[in-house]
Amino acid sequence: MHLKGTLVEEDVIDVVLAGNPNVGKTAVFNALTGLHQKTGNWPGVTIEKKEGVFSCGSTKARAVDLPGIYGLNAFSLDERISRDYLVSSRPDLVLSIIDSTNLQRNLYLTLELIEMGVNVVVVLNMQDELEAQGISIDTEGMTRTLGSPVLLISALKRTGIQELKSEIIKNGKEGLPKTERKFHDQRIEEALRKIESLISLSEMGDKLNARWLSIKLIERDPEYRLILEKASAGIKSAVDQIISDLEKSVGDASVAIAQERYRSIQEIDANFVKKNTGRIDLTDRLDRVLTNKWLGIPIFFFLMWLTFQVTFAIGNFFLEQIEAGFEWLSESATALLLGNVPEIVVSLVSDGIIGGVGSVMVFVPNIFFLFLMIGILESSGYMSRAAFVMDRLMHKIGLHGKSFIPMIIGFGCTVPAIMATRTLESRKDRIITMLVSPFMSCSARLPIYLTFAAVFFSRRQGTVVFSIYVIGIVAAITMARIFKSTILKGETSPFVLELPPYRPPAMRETLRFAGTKSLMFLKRAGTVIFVVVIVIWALATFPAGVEYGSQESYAGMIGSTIAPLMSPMGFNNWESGVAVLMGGLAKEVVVGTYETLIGDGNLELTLREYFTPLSAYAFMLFTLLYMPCVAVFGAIWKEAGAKWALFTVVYTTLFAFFVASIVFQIGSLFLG
Amino acid sequence: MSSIRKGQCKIVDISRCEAQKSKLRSVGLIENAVVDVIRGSAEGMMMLLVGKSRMGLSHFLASKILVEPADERVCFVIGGEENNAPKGHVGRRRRYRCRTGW
Repeated sequence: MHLKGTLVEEDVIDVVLAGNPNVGKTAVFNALTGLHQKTGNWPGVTIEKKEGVFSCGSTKARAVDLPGIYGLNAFSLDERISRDYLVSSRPDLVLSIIDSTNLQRNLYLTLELIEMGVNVVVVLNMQDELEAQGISIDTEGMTRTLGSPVLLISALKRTGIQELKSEIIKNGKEGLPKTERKFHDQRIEEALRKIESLISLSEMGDKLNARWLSIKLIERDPEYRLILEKASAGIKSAVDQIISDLEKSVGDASVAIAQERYRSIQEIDANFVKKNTGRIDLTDRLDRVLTNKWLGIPIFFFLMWLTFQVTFAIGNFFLEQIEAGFEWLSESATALLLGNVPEIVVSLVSDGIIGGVGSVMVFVPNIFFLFLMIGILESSGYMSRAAFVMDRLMHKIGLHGKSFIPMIIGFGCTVPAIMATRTLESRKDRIITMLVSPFMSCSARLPIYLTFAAVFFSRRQGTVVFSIYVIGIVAAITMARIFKSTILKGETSPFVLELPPYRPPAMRETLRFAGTKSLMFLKRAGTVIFVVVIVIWALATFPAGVEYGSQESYAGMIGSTIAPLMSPMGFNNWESGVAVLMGGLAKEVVVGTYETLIGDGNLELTLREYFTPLSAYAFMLFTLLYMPCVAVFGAIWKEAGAKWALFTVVYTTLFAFFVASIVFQIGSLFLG
Repeated sequence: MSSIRKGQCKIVDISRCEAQKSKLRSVGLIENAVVDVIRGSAEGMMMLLVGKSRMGLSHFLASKILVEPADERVCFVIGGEENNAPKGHVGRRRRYRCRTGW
């Protein structure tokens, strides 16, 4: 055990939360620790382990929330993180979190954990749903059969949490009584016993539970087979002989072991679960419509369109109020400072800080409503359906529906989208998804679209912005197809995706999710954007003596160098050159750059002077598609390496230039 | 399995899914298990009911799983035409290129 900070090692109980995807592990983690990690009704929300500390009385415990796994056979990167942690960390206690409405599938992992020889407490989550479905579970009977305490809780409704904490402290300190539970038939048990005795003669079982290692060897797990390879030739051949003899009697031993686990699970289900079979399945009805072959994709796009309509309709009301507040603040600050401090300071405060930062902060309501809508879609269980219906289209480009989940996450922020590619099994699929994820327009780009759409397309703002998002999806799919057939050739990897039941959106969690994202946006406005607008203000002010924001300023010189390159796209003003350059740091900065450079001028009038509706649309397309921000660059570097990170910057910028130029040039032919 | 359009079927062999078989087993797609095909892979992804879990299976994966029908309602797309999605209620008319039963 180890823990950062002041806690003494021996005082802290190490608890690991393990379970299938989408059983509410993170909700249990949040309920235990009081933290607010993101939850959602779709598999793959947690892609990295998370840690938190909680206490019960005078005892402290450290909880680790692991990505969801179906079994202890590592398959994708997120599953490997979980299994390696469970095997190597030797926690005091493992909480096997189970969706109590779906015991049969969830218990498979629990049996594996028990066979692993770790102290397991079985947590049957979603008690509220269980009761709503009229199902009851005999937890005492299950406790006797499994040899591990079984508790019924609802993390969402916060019921049973105190009892769970007490159970953690009790069993974490004292440990569970050592009883070996056997879930297999006589022939397998006999083979296991023989292999265990061979393991005890060697050094193989020093770090691992001998029974667990025996099971894995019979299952022919390649990673555990490597351990056997290191043993003496005699032990190796004896183990192989035992497995071969077993297979003569039971057939494929790995199949037999899995079947025996399921036989035990069916017995538990039959003995301890009372079901109400008369319930009408709402999920079934909804799926008939939402995943329909013809309606599925149009419904997906309709929901995306609705998201942006809500973002505009409600968000813009608040935006106008905040905008008026910043205008008042700027005027008040100017009036207060003028005459009392040098004019350059007045300009810094009014044009730089209030103008630049304020121009970005006014979009917080829109960001909030965007994430609220995304949160509702995630929380309801629709996210997996989006991947399901898009699979057909994704298959045509050589990927599969699962690749679409990171892309949808990219609508919020591209960094977690890059991280979410860890759920993909094939490395080539991961890299392709990473390369195209920046095309899914993140929330930081929304202020750019909102500003330009308000000025140039005031009557059809929602539709214009929606079209930008759709072009982003089309661009991602097109580039993925090109990569799959050229530099990243490979077979489509097969995949299984769980479709969780539809649930009413957890509004408290969803509001918190939208609030947290909005606060993060505000934080960036107060830090990164604040610094960048001061730099831009300085570039627009100096060298000394030049007019603020003129072409003679440093900003003007930099922008003028870049501007000619942008002529084919229909905008060659130097301010856009600076804005595009600064947008490489953070996309939120683009609008702030315009506001800062223009100073106390009218942004709308200036934009109308520099852009036509066509060139404004080309500019929006360029900012949608060109190089991702520094944070995304770093994430791709970390996940795929420097080569792919640099490649992303180059190819996205060239692609953006190509698309925006084509749109402007062809559009000019028709619009003059 | 990719040719099954609807109905219950018993999984016979998943050994052709070499890399995925341990995962398939842990989600309940195990030899001798009876699964309910809600939607066949001819219409995109296959949708299965495994116990109480709703699972989406890619066509590529479904085509590697060997099954046999487990109830008389099983219907399937005629071999070699998996990608031509059948229309309407299967078995009502010959032109739908599907037949019911086994």
